[in-house]
Amino acid sequence: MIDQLLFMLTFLSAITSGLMAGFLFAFSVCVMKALSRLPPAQGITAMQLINVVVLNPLFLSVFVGTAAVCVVLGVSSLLMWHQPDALYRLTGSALYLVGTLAVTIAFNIPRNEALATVAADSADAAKRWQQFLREWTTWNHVRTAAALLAAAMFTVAVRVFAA
Amino acid sequence: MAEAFQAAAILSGALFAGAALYINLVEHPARMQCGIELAATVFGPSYHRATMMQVPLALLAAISAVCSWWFDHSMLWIAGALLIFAVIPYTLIAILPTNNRLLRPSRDRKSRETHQLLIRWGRLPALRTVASLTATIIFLIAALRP
Repeated sequence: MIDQLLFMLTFLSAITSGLMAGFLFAFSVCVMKALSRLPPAQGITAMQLINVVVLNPLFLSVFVGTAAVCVVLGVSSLLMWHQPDALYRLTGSALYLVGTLAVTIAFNIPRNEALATVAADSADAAKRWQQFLREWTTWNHVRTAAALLAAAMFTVAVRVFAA
Repeated sequence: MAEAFQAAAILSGALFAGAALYINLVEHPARMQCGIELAATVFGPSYHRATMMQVPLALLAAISAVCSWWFDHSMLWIAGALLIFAVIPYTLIAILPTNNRLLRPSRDRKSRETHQLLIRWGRLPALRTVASLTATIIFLIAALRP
């Protein structure tokens, strides 16, 4: 019974962490590069709106829900370390919780909050926008890679479980 | 070798689905809140970059899935490959005409027609999100088969 539940949660995490990787990948390779080509005032306005719109129930439930499931999978893998898929479940969970969730909280959200206070037509807007683009995008690459690796680990875990 | 193709199909499918979800859920709604002129201005560069990202991912997922089928003969790989490959003709047939009208150099970016086209465009990519997410789930189920 518990094994089946863990299998379902691992399967779900493989999908949702992969979805999060794609979601963040879009920022890294598409959105930020497109915004960087706009005049700073327009880029700042667009990013400020994106940061408001992204806080919708569906995104938050996938992003935070995956983290909650990762806590369950991480703890269960430690308690059932003898299982062949435990190492992959633990690695996937740690990658998502540290590389995606913690990085977002520690590095991306503070920069979003700082950008929200910037008036798009202010004198230092262009300088702050360039700094935001450089730093925020770097950390976005990190959380994208972590989510993708987590998806890969969960995929290996379900494969090992099914074998 | 088979595992490498399976992983490539699953992960590129998931990346495509996540990026498509982002466009549906965040990018286009945010763009529409910027005002019509800025929305139409942002649409061009954003669309080109999204195309450059999504077409290779869809092709990689479809080709990897066909290669996975070659190794284990599960028709689930073919079903998923067809589903994710279908987003390319769907884009060309259903979405591209609206894109071309929006990107016309002579377009008045403040016009009511531009507003209508942007609203219409916002509904079209939802099918790509559903198709790619379904394909990814099918790939994952196929990978579980012994």
